[in-house]
Amino acid sequence: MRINSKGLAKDLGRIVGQEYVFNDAPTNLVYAKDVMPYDLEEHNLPYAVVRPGDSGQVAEVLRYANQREIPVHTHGSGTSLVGLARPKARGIVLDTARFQDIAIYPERGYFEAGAGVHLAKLRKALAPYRALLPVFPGSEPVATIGGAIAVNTSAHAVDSALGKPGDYVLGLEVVLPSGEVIETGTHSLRRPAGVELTKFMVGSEGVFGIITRVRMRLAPLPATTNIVATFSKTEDILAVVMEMYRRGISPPMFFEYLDESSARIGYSAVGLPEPAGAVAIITMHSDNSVGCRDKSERFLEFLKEADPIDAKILGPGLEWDQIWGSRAEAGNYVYRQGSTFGSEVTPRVDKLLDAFIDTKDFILNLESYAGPQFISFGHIGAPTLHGYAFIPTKDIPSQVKKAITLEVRQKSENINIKYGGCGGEWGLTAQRIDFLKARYQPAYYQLLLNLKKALDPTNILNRGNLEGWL
Amino acid sequence: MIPKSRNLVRELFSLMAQNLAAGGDPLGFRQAYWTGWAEGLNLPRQGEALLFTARMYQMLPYVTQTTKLVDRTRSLLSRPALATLAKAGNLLAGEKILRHLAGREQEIEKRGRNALRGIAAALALVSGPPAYLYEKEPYSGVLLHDLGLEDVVKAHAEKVARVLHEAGSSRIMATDPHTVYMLGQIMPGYIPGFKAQVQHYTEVLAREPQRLAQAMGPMPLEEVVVHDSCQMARDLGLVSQVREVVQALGLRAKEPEHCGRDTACCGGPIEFAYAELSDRISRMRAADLSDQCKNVVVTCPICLINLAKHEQEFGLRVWDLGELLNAGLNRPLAD
Amino acid sequence: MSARQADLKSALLAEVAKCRACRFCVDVCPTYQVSAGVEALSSYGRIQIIKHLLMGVLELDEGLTYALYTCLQCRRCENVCKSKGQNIEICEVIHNARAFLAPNYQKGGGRDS
Repeated sequence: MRINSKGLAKDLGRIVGQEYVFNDAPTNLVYAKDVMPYDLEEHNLPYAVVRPGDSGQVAEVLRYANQREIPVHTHGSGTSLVGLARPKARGIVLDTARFQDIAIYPERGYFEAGAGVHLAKLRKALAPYRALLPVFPGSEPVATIGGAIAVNTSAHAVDSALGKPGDYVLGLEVVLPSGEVIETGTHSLRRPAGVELTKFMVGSEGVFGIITRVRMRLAPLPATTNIVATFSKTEDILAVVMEMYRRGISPPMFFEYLDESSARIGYSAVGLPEPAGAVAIITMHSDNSVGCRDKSERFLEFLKEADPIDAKILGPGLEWDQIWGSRAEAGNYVYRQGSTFGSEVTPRVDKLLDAFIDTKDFILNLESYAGPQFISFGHIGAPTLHGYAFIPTKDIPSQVKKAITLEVRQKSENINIKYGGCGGEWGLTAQRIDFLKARYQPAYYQLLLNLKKALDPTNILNRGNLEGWL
Repeated sequence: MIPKSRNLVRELFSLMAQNLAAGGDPLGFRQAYWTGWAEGLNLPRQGEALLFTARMYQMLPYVTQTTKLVDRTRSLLSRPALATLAKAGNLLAGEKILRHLAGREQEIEKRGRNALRGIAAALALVSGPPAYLYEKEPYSGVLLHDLGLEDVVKAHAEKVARVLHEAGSSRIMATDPHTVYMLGQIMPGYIPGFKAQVQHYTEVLAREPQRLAQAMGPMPLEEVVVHDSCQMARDLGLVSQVREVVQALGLRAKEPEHCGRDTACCGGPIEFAYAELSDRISRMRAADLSDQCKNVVVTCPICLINLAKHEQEFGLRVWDLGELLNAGLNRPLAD
Repeated sequence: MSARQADLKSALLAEVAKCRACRFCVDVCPTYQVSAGVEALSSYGRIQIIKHLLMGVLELDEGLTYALYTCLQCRRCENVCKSKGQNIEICEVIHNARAFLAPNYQKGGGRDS
């Protein structure tokens, strides 16, 4: 179907105001581009970018798109690492950036935020209320609360300690693909039991609706204490995690690691001296500082059983900020030195070491590129390990980059299937749909397709995510 | 909605290049308008240490009026035929019109003059009366560099280097950060062998804060919020110096939320071409600053005129640091 | 294209290849902030626009000119890129792109040569 971009822009301008519609090539491209290492293709480029100011306008855009069967792609921050951010069919990009409202109600025990609010801004707004924002992606400066809830991503947070962001959501405002606005959930802190659509929409990855507003519980900020431990090899850290769960020790809020290579790169990038091995970076948490100190000292004793090179409690300050930064930005620091192709492996906890060995093995023996290096880091306490194929050059043809991306994706997902995991931070559609199909029964995927058909009969909303298009 | 830009940018380029070629001044003026501030100071015309204004403060009244003019004629300039006409008219009528319009900018002109007199007085106190080139003083060429007009920059840079070489000063003390940046970091790339020791005047003053403090008279205010110019903080790494001078003046220095290397821009660099966008940025910054204090101190003439636009709305008074030096040293406040 | 233009182009392509599109520089850009969050008016947006112009995907049109010349060159984005991102001299890239394109505006042409 041929779309006249000028006519489209004019029509959208009547809905949101002409100053909030763009159809020039540079703007279209900038919104379509994401972190995928391979080039944009024509089918990724939208005809127009529309920036609605409220859910009523979102609804009207969707109704318009439905009538004309024009795909609509939701844009939050554009930082998805599995291709959610890139439009897969030419249409309209709907940018949520104007949804910037933040309302905090300590007397009600909750806050509300527009979908476009960046997490860092939200965390800052919550700070005076000593409230926790239980979402910790590395892309925090720019990731949106709408996107974080749409994916229900844990990122740095250990699920067994903090739960998932969705566990804190009391209700949502959602615009359905057909253009109806619904409210889900409750204004009470007693969350609904039974069939309740909040849970359906949390983690829906833009397939079943557009989240425009989020209501979350004001959870008190815990007291925290940091621990850093260096081990001679990564496998020792994996063994610690496995033993921690085996013994039923209460997991820390953050339990990260950098392998020997990424620790060297990360520490150097932040101006720290070269570490002696792989590094475990841990944040213990408790309701109060006395309990937290006690918990930390006991955890430190537990770590020392694994014979680290060193292990210490580290107070807040520059050194901790640098060490945390070396992990939080590890992906960027490694990418500075060449090209990276990542994976998310989240095995059953007792299979962590086996999964690590398998991941390392397939990356060192890629079919699509000879001789990459293996680098890994991750939220190992969750457990998540990000195994990367690292190639020390940027000069790789786009088609080769695409092939490597897909091979790393497919083989790491095979490991997830083999060891019973399913990921915990990047979502399950887009580039992960093949995993979903392989991991679960055919009826599972068919159910998703049926739900999609029921809610979005013309398949306009984020078309291609459920199909796994690129 | 994208404002028409290609023709506007094209016209800016040719205007600048033409004006500079005609007489070495970005405004295209022939008559020296940049020396009046020094009347009565009898600064030596030669010396080891040179005070260099690059005409930046002196251009302010003309810049504000030119910007308003560009904004009003924007829709004309975006049409090629009319732009050509306007360009032809520029050489004949431009100077007269701008001089006439600039007469309205008396407040800005006064602040600029006071700032330079204050800077000169402070430098004289701390390191002896500086030399000043008067009508021989060239413009630095920084706007050309910002626009990417490399060929024109090179030609102009050669002229500037020649003038400075003839002046024979071993130290150049610039009154604004753009000039420090241009002379210290950009010109050496165009002129091999051009190596001037260039400093912002706050670097000189911050070496002798006690001497400054002792000479200060009563100030018209007690505390200020410091707005760091982007160029000062991020290009030149000058953050503590202005605070040391503010303290030497006997003032309390408050900090806005985004300060030092994280300072937020005043919007100045795009004011000439995109006044409306620039205005939104300067307003945002003025609002942030006013959260801390109603007296704002700046060390850059571009920051001065851009933030001063919002004084009425936020109840602010934007002071150039030079004005405060003038208030403290050249008592009473020189008119 | 002159030899100097060719050198500029190749140096620019090498620099923009470093950009990972992590978007950390988006939020701190003043023009992004005052435009209610238009990504094309952020540092990330400008880098990608320059990259795709040099790749021949974009043309030198009004939108592109506006994006390029509204950059304040304030370097706030570089604080973030150097500390968390790819350590790119973003403002220098934008400045060099302007220098590369200047002949197009000076001659009164519209296409990238």
